[in-house]
This record gives sequence, C-alpha cells and structure tokens, in this order.
Amino acid sequence: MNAKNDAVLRVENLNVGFGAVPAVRGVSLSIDRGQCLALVGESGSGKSVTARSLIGLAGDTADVSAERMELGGESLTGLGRRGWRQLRGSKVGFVLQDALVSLDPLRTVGREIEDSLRLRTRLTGAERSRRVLSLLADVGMDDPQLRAGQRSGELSGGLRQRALIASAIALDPALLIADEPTTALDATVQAQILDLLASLRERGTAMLLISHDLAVVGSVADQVAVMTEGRIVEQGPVAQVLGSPQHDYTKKLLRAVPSGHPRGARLSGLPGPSSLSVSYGPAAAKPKAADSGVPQSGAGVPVLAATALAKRFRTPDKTSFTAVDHVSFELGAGETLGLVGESGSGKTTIARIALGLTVPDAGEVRLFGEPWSTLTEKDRRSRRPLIGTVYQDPLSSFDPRLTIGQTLADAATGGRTLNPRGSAKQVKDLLEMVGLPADFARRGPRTLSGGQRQRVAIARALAPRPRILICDEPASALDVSIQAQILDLLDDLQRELGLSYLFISHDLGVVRHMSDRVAVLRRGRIVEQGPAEQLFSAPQHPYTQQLLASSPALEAR
Amino acid sequence: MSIFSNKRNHQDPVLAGTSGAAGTPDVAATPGTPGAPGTMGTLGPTRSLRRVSGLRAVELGAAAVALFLVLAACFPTLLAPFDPLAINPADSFQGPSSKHWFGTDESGRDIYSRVIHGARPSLLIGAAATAIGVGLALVLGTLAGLGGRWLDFGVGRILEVLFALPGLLLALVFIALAGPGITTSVVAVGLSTAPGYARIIRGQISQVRSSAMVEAAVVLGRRPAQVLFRHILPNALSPVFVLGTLGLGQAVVWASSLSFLGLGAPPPAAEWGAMLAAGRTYLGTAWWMTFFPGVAIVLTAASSTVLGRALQRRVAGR
Repeated sequence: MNAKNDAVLRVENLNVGFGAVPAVRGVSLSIDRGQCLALVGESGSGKSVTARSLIGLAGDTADVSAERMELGGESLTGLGRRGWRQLRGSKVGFVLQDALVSLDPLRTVGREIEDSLRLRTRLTGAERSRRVLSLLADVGMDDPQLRAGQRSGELSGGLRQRALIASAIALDPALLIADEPTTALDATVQAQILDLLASLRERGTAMLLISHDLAVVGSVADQVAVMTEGRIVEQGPVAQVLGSPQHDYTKKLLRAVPSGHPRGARLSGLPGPSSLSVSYGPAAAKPKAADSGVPQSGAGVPVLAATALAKRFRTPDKTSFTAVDHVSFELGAGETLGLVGESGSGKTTIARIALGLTVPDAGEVRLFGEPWSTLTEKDRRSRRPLIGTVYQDPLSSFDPRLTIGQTLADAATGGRTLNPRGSAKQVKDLLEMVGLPADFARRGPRTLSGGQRQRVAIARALAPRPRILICDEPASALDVSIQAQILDLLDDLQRELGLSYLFISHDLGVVRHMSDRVAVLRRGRIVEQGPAEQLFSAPQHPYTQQLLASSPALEAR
Repeated sequence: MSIFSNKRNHQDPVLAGTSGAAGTPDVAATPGTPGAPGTMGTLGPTRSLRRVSGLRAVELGAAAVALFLVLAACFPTLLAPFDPLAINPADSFQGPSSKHWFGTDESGRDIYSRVIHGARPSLLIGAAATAIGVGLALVLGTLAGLGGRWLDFGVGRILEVLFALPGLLLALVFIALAGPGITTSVVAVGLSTAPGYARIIRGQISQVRSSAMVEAAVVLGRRPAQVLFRHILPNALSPVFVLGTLGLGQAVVWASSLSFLGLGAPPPAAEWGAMLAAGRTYLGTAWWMTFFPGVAIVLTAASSTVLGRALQRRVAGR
C-alpha cells in the first residue's frame, strides 16, 4: 500500500483543549484517497471537536496543537483566518448533521451551491448554473432544475442533506468531512444518503465520517477509529474492529447495539436488578387497580385493544391529512407490541389516542375490555392509573419548579402531596427501582443527564402502579450505551412487574430487540403485523422489506 | 406563597431570552456526566457562578439604595434633620451646605429632608400602582389564557385597543375623568400598565398549559383544578413577579410625571415630582431644587431595574 504518497489527510498527535479542559488528547489519523475513515464515539468523546479542528473551526477558545497536520501534503498548522478560508470548500468539504440550520432559509439551494463556485473559480454565470445543475444531479436530486430554485424550507430532510452535500463537493474537495450526516433522517432516506456518500468515495474523495451509529459506520467506512474521552482507543479496518474488538470500550459499544441481540438479552453489560419486588410486586399492584373498580383481565382479554382507529388533522391551508387510518391492534398482558414507522407515519398520534389525550374520529380503544377512548375525561380519570407513559424528551414533562422527590411524591400519592418527606419511602423505592440513588430526590430535573432523566420519567410513570406503559421513542435521544441501559431497565421492569408495553420507535433494531410482536406503520396504516422474529426474518409486505433492507445492521456476533 | 424562596429550577422562555442576552449561561447546557448509574457525576463549578459574582457589586449597590429608600419611606424622621414642611423665609434659596446638604427651596424648606420624606409617597404610589396593574392583569390574562377561545379573543381585542394608546396618555385621560389627586394617579398608572402584564400572563399561561408537563399530569389522572394550581399558575406567574419588580421603577417615574404636571400630589406635599415642578421656575438660579429630587427618582428606578434583572436571572437561569 502506497499510503505515504496517497494520504490526503495526515494528523499526528492532535491535542485540543478548552481552557484547562482537554477535549482531544493525542489523536493521530491518516486517510488515503478514496478511503473513508469513521470516527466513532458517544457525545462528549471529542469526535466533533477533532473534525472541527481540521478545518480551523474549533472555536476561539480552543487551544489546538498538533505535531503534524497535513492536507494533501500542505501543513495546516499555523494557518491564519485567511488561510483557513481558502482551504474550506476548495480542499475540504464539510457536511453537518442538521441541514435545516446549515442552509440559509432565505436563499435558493442553487445560489447556496453557486456561492463557492463564484468565489473560487473563474467560471462564467452560465457555466456556474450548468455546474450547479450537474452537481444536484450527481447527489441524486430528482429534478435539478426545480430544486435549484427552491429554498431549504421547501425541501424534505433527505433533499436538504443532498443539497448540503452538493454544496460541500462543489469545488471537488480532496477531503469530505461528514459530521453525523444521517442522524436526523429516516431509515430509507438514510440508506440513500449513505449510498451517495459511498459513490463519492468511489470517485476518489477521501472521507472522514463522524457518527455514533455503529451500523452506519459498518456499512460505509473502511477504517474505524473509536474515540472516548478525547482519545482514540482502537483503530483499524472496519471488519477487524467491529468483528473482533480488542478494547473494552469498543466491546461495550458493540454490545449496546440492540439489533442482532435476541429479546431479553442484556445490552448494557450491567447486572440485572436485585430486589424490585420491595415496593411493586405484581401482587402489590393489584389493590390499586381493584380500588378503582377495574376488572382484572381474564385470560385472553387484551389489556389494550384498538379497533379501526382513524384520525384526520386539518392543516393550515384548509386541507386535511389522515394521520391514522383504520388502525387495529391488541396488546396482551405482559406483552410488548412494537410500533415501528418513519416520521409522519402516525406513531405518536396512536400513542396519544391510546393514552386518551387525543380523541379518535372513528374507532375505539378499550382498556381491559372496558370502554376507554369513548369515555369523558372525568370518567377516564379514575382509570388513568392503569396506563402510564414515557416520553422521548422527559425534561419538558417535568415541572421545573419541583425537585425529583416532589415530582415522584406527587405521582405516587395521586397528587395529594408534594412533600417528599411524607412519602419518603415510596420515593426512595421508586428511585431504587430505576437504579438511582435516594439522594436524587433533592435534585432538580435540569441537573440530571439524559439517561438519568429518563430513569426518573420511568419511575414517575410506574408510581401509580400502572399495568400498561406507552413508550414513545424512550431511548432515541440517548447515546447507544445509555440507550442500552434504559432498554435493559424497561425489560427488567416488565419481567418483574408483568407490565405490558406499547413500544414506539423509528429504530428497527430497538423495536426488534424489545418487542414480542411488531406492527409496521406507513402513512397512518398498519401494513404488516406479526410476531417480531417472524416479521423481521420473513417480511411479507414490500414496505417492510424495503424498511429492513435500508436499515444498516451489524451482523449478529 | 414564596415563589422566589424555593430554590428550584425555573424555565421561562420569555425571560430566558432576555437574560440570555445578559450572558446568563443555561445550567442545562453545562456538560454533566452522562447517565451511567455507576458514575452519577456532580456538576463541576460552572461559569454561571463567576458571571453572577461579577455582577454582584452592582446588585449590592442597588440593594443598598433600595434598603435606604425603604428605610426613608418607613422612618423619615430618623434620617431627615428638618421638618419637610417648616417654612423659614430667611433661609430661602440656599445652595448645598453642611447645614442644608441639598440646599433649601423658595420658602427655606430643607431639600434633603423633603427628598427623604418624599420617598414614602413616591414608593407607595409606585407599589400601589404596580399592584393594581399586576392584579388587573392577573384577572385579564388568566381569563384569556384559560377561558377558551371566545374569551381569549375578547380580552385580546380589548388589550389591543389599550395598547394602541400610549400608557401615559391613558393615565391622563383617566385623571381628566376622575379628577387629580394621589389616589386617582395611582389608579391611572395601574390601569395603564395593566395591558402589558396581561399580555405576558396570557402568553405564559397558554404556553405552560400546552406543555408536556401538563400533559404528564393529565396522564397521571390529575383533575383540572389540581393541574391549574400545582403546575400552570406557579410556572406561568413567577416571571410576572420579576416583571413587577422591574415595573416598580417605571411606575415611580410615571407617578412623578403626573405630580410634575400637577395631577398627583398637591404642591406643599414633599413629593419628588411635585418638587421637580416647583423647582422648574428657579432652574437657572437654584439647580439643587430640581437636581436632588431628580436624582432620587433616577436612583429608585435604576435600583428597582437592577434588582428586577438580578431576580430574573436567578429565576430563569436555575
């Protein structure tokens, strides 16, 4: 391998610090022509700072030093502002995660792309227009002429990302840096963007891909560098690093990926719970339900049953769109039903209908065989303790004025008291149940990390001793290892407490790992429903097949 | 109830926006340790501590001024060496001296004593007017925020009409109808500040009402009244108390303006606006007659603004 001559980017011993805080420590990288190096790590691992340092955008407060930092043979150390500007765009292209904020909403996509051509080339106006159109065609835009005249707000997420990539490669840079380029996208769109990146690489562009998603990395990159706490702990060819990881951290990351791990297998590598039954044994849960006059489900009666649900929403321009269309499903006792679908497929609307927050236009939800969605809120209230929910973003669902202890005391006592002292035992037990120390009761929700907040949210949902939890993307906003812990926790709680879950996610791997049965949603309709293993191994509906094919998966190890 | 004494997080976009400009870091934005149960990290010392301590000198000064003003309003005789109304023609138009710190007016009254005694009516007018404004706004804003679409529409239109008129003009109209005097000027200033507060309260309430936090309470089976008093009102109204503190200074200025125009406290009374009006005639020869009451007004307004901002940062930045 003639790496010495071919290396587009060479970095040796890069250090970046913010004041006294080191963000990147001794990172060395090298990327050859047409090669893709993936930088993998969780949030705060220093991967984005590394990438930004390579284009001089680490920020004014950053302290960047490197023994060697070369791009195409030219040294990058000691470049001034002007030097960096010359470099960006022409030699390095940069694609950010959120294309919506990276494109100027007031300018057309064509002008955005044309900018760098006007600044850095001697092309005439007509030549530039032609080049813009050919770039848009290159990145797979269906109608370049039309798209060039549109603004970022008029484009879908996938098209925006394409436009951004087109502007990044307008000057044919030797190196393309893509920072989480597909994180905000649906699986099928993600697959298209990954194909596009792969085709760019075949044309000889070197690529630095930054991602937290090991499956994405596995499908695109040649080389992987695993970062944690500012250091690269393992680096090598993709097959080797993902196939037979050497470092403990890499192993932990791989184990945390839910796809390919059978239902019930632990993801986090942490031991299971010891004494859940302290406060919430399945038997202990009964009195509450019996108090409110709720019949216990006999064998065969689904705890939650939806029949022919439909919901239409009016849009601002007087038309209406169908969010949920003829959806029926049943959730059995102690079972998990996974609802999977892309954004806009009606997942959240179904969750809201199941929770009695949105009234369906047609159809009915029954709870333990009794009316639920047809009740008035007043009648529903006494049965609300039976069904709880866990949100994707728990922070906004906490009252910021209350401490964790007060929030849990409120939930555990049916709103009778906020005083965590009066219900200290309950609060402590709830915190223990979700694996948090008792002194968290005194903290405010904002001082918790994402994973801790989600644990508190689960504790609150469990406080009224529900039989059903509706989990709407409960781990989607979390890093993969934290996601693994939350999924494990939900699994443990289900086993201990006999809970039923309606588990909603866009992530096929997560749904497959968590669910007994799965329903696939597309544009408000359930296109396929069945036992998880069967549905994933032999999908019947073409849409399910497409969805499965487009989601990059790590081979089961 | 003590909204500000409980040391809890508060999230408020309206205030967070303004205080963000003042450089208040968001606690949530400081990197905490990711949520591994084994590594429950504590937050390190954040920048907010340093920022706040950097501003503390100004805040302390404002607090000292406010304390002095309150003391003067409560116990004027402790601080003032002379009777504010005692006429002594022999001493008229004296400049500041060791005997008369702020000089004397056309009737030989001690300006310093009058400024001290003026604190009570000025602060009372300011506080009462703000209380009336906020109280009225609470009613209007809560009605609009909670009362459903038609009530919201109705209140919204009324507020818009009131907004179309400048506040001071509104106050003048009211005084023209009700006749001059301290009571009417208090009510007038209160009335004219109410629309601003009402609109903020309405926005706050409708925002909190549609938040995930309220939805979570509904899912837990809480009754509407419980949700209202436990979650919606406390979260929606705490910023209003901050705004009230900020508005106090403005109300003092407005009340003084009305007195200056002869529509508030009648002339012999020691009131800052009235003193300004009396001194205006002698501005060329006896500057101290207008200068010191003016300084008192400025200090009152400034200290209430600084304290209001500090309060706002505490509430929003937590």
